[in-house]
Order: sequence, then structure tokens, then C-alpha cells
Amino acid sequence: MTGLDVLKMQKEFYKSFYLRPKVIFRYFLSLFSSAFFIKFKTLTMNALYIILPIK
Amino acid sequence: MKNTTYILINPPILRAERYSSKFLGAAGGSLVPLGILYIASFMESKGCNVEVIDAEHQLLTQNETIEYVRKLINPNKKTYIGISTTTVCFNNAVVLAQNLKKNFPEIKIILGGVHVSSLPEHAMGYECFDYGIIGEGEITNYELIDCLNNNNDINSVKGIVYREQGKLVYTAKREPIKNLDELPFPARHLLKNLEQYVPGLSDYKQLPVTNIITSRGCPGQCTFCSNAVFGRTYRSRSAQNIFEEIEDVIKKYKMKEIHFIDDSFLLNKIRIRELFDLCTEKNLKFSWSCYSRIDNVNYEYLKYLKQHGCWRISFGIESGDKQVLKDIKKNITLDNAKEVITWCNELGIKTTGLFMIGHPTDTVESIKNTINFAVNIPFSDAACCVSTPLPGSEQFKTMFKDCNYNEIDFSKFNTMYSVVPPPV
Ligand code: B12
Repeated sequence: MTGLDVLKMQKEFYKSFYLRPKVIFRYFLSLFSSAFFIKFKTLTMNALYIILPIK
Repeated sequence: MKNTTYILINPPILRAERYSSKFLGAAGGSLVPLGILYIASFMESKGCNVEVIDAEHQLLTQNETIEYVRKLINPNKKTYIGISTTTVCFNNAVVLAQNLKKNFPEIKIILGGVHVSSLPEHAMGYECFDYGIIGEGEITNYELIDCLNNNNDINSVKGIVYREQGKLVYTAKREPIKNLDELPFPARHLLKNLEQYVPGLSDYKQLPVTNIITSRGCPGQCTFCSNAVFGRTYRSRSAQNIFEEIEDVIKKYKMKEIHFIDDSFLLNKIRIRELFDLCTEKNLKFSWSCYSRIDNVNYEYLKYLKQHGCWRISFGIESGDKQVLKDIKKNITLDNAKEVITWCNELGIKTTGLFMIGHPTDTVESIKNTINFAVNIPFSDAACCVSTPLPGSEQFKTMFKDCNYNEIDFSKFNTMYSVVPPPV
């Protein structure tokens, strides 16, 4: 395995975990709790990390 | 020590250097640097004037850090500089120390923290550092400065490394501090804007929040963990002592939440029950989160924790592959992990599954097992970093046994690169 393969699988991990309807829905619901800002930012940052290409 | 000033520095390092990504970096946190704050409070308790520069948190550049130091130097006092560094930040610490030496050649620079504790021969190969402190630093550092102030023989100070006629000299080994209750609480008052220290985005529920450490040393055998500072013997502060620190941060700084950063906060059930019973008895209210091993909890215990303010537990699972778990000596079972996460869900405790991929024996198949495991267990959140042979870990010793450490690019040891990809 190359280092790049490992990083690709790391991205795969995040994609598989966070880009699930169940998880997105849970985050959506929790946006209305007191932790709105935190949840919103976490989700945005994780999303950006997942979408952006590996250096 | 009335006539001494000690300037303690956490060197500059960008989020992008820590996480290899600006975005992931923004999701990461900034915690109170307890290492230098423990050194600071111990020195203050001996009458020394202490200043703390957290260049990482304040996003200072190397030059700004030097200028900051310049302002703090009082020519009428004996001045020392202490630098703390992990492995990934080591190169930055060297640049800082070299610049400090250029600007203030008469000031002695002391290096502490996990990198010099793990690889003293590498760290002290840089002449910008005058003394290295190996392991737990409070007593060693005080004795060293006391010795230097009085021109005594530094060979009598245990736990240090220094150069004599170009050669490294190691003094006798320092024994771990037996009674952690004797240490003064970390000197949070020396930080600017304490309320701006906020953990990773899913690691807090209420602000302001602060991090506390209640034990040192971990009995685990995990091959990836760097344990050169506190070793394998678990030592913990008493419930009363921890209670007093919590009460202090709530009263002084209006903290609403505590982020316990012990390697395994929940290990000693008796101590934990004593602590939270005391908090309830004294009506001290706060929410809290912590890290734990899967095998340190059961249903009843979790229920108790939930009733006493626990809202999130981050569990080190590391891999979803049985064989890999065995290889890295994690010593937990996936069935147990599944059971515990299900209990937490039932009780309303949020969970983070902490995973790593790129273990020495990982294969595409075993990494897929990890991904599947994370997805199929109801974790509230999950994080995945790249397994890295950190200095101070068994893996580093095995993988870099015959290497020239000067040829290793330590700036890549941020657990976001695959420093040594798995061979298959
Ligand atoms: C909380 C934590 C974090 C927090 C906050 C760090 C902080 N601001 O202090 C966050 C999440 C930000 C973080 C980030 C990282 N962390 Co971290 N972290 C920890 C953890 C769990 C506790 C740190 C702590 O507060 N310890 C308590 C204090 C009291 O101990 P201490 O800092 O070691 O200080 C003592 C001695 O080292 C010495 N000392 C320290 N500094 C100085 C300075 C002087 C002058 C002197 C004399 C003595 C001295 O005396 C102190 C008191 O006895 C440790 C594990 C652990 N149990 O320590 C890992 C640990 C330090 N982290 C580790 C790693 C790998 C990382 C990251 C690379 C991971 C990442 N990508 O996020 C980054 C690197 C950040 C950086 N700037 O270098 C590794 C480091 C291994 C290595 N060889 O470098 C550790 C050891 C985990 C492990 N067991 O493998 N981390």
C-alpha cells in the first residue's frame, strides 16, 4: 500500500461515516438544539474535508 | 527564586502543519497547554516569576514570539527560557531556540515535553538547547534551575540530559511523582483569554469549557502509543484534589463544562464515584466529557456517569479488524465495543469512535473492516487518523531501530500522513 492509498481510504472512512442519510438527518435535527453552531461548523468542516482532493 | 524569571513557550505551529489540512485543522481544537502550566505553577510556588507564551494558540509567528520574549526580559532578574514540544512541532522548536540564542545568547534554554523524553539523543543534538528534561518535569525542572542559580553540580539533578565538551551527559533516572495531589493546579491565570481555548468541535456542549488531567501513566500495552513521559504505571489524583480543581475553575473562570483528557479517565471506578458523589454533595454542577477504554465501563457504571453530568465519551477502538487489534496489542474485543456503544446510545451518552488506519499489518481488507465496523455501530461521531510510529512508542522503536534520526522528517508525524505505509 502507498501512503496515498492510506489517505484515500481515510477519506473513504469519513465519506462512509458522515454521508449517510441517517447521520445527516441526525445532524439536521441537532441543529435545532443548543449546540447549533458547533454542529453546523463540524458538519461543514467534515464535508469540506471529504470533498476536497488529497494534496 | 524571587530573583528569577522563567519564560515558558509552546512554539508556533499552524493548524495546517498539525493536520495537513486547513479544513480539518479548523475542526480540531485548542486546549490549555497543561504541560507548561504545571511547570509554571510549580515554579511559582517556589517564588519564581513565570511568564507563559502559547505561540501555537495565539497564532504567533517565530518573529513575533521572539519580540514577545524580548518584552518579558527583565535585566535585573536571572532569566531562563523553557520550551515544550511534541514530535511534530520539534522542527519549529529548533528554529525558535536558534533564533532565541541569536538574540539572547546569555539565556539558558531548557527543553521539555514528549519529543525530548522519547528521543533525547536526537533532540539534544541541537546545540540551541542547553538542557533537556526527560519525562515528568515539575520537580526536575525546579531542581535544575535552583542548581543553576546556585552554581551547584547539575549532575546531582536526576532526569536531565546536557552537553559537556560536546558529549551528551545523562544524569540518573528520575522516579515518577508518587503523590500527584502535591502538585499545585496548572497556572491557568498565566494564559491570555482562557475562554478562547476550546476543544475540537464535537468535544464540547457548553462554553466556557476547560481541560483537566486527573491521572498520569497508562497500564495499556498499545504499540502505537507514545508513553515516554508518564510511563506505564497508572497514578491518579485523589477525588478530593480533583474536586478542588473543578471547583476552582468554576468559581474563578465560570467554567460550565470540563473536558477530561486522561488517557483512560474511567479506569478507577471507586475514584470516579467518589469524585462525582462529592460534586453532587457539594452541589457543583457542570457537564463533562472524557476518553475511555471500552473495557473500563459497564451498564451500571455508564448509567451512574450519565446521571452525574457525562454527555460524551470518546472510545479508542483503533481498528475494526480482529487481527489488527491483536497486532497492535489493544486488548479489546469488537463485540464488547458494540455492546458498550449500544448501552451509551440507550442511556443518551454521545460517543465518538476513535479509529486509525494504516497500522503496520493493515491491508485493504482490514481497513474495509474498520470502515464497516464504524458505520454499522451506532457511534454519534467518528474520527480516523493515520497510524504513525510516534517516538516513545513500541512501533517507533521497531521501525526506526537502525535509523539515523536526523534523516527522519518529523514534521510529518502529525497522524495525518502515512509515514510508513503498511507493506501489503
Ligand atoms: C490533550 C492532548 C492533545 C490536545 C492538546 C495538546 C496541548 N495543548 O497540550 C490536542 C488535541 C490539541 C493534541 C494535539 C496533538 N497531539 Co496530543 N495529546 C494530548 C494528551 C492526551 C494530553 C496532553 C497533556 O495535557 N498532558 C498532561 C501534561 C501535564 O503532560 P505533558 O504535556 O507531557 O507535560 C509534562 C512533561 O512532558 C514535561 N514538560 C512538557 N513541556 C515541558 C516544557 C519544559 C520547559 C519542561 C521543563 C518540561 C515540560 O513536564 C510536564 C509535567 O510533568 C497527550 C497524551 C498524554 N497523556 O500526555 C497526547 C499526545 C501529547 N499527543 C500526541 C499527538 C501525536 C498529537 C498530534 C500530532 C495529533 C493531531 N494530529 O492532532 C497533535 C500535535 C499538537 C502539537 N502542537 O504538537 C502524542 C505525541 C507523541 C509524540 N511523540 O509527539 C501524545 C503523547 C499521545 C500519545 N500517547 O501518543 N493533543
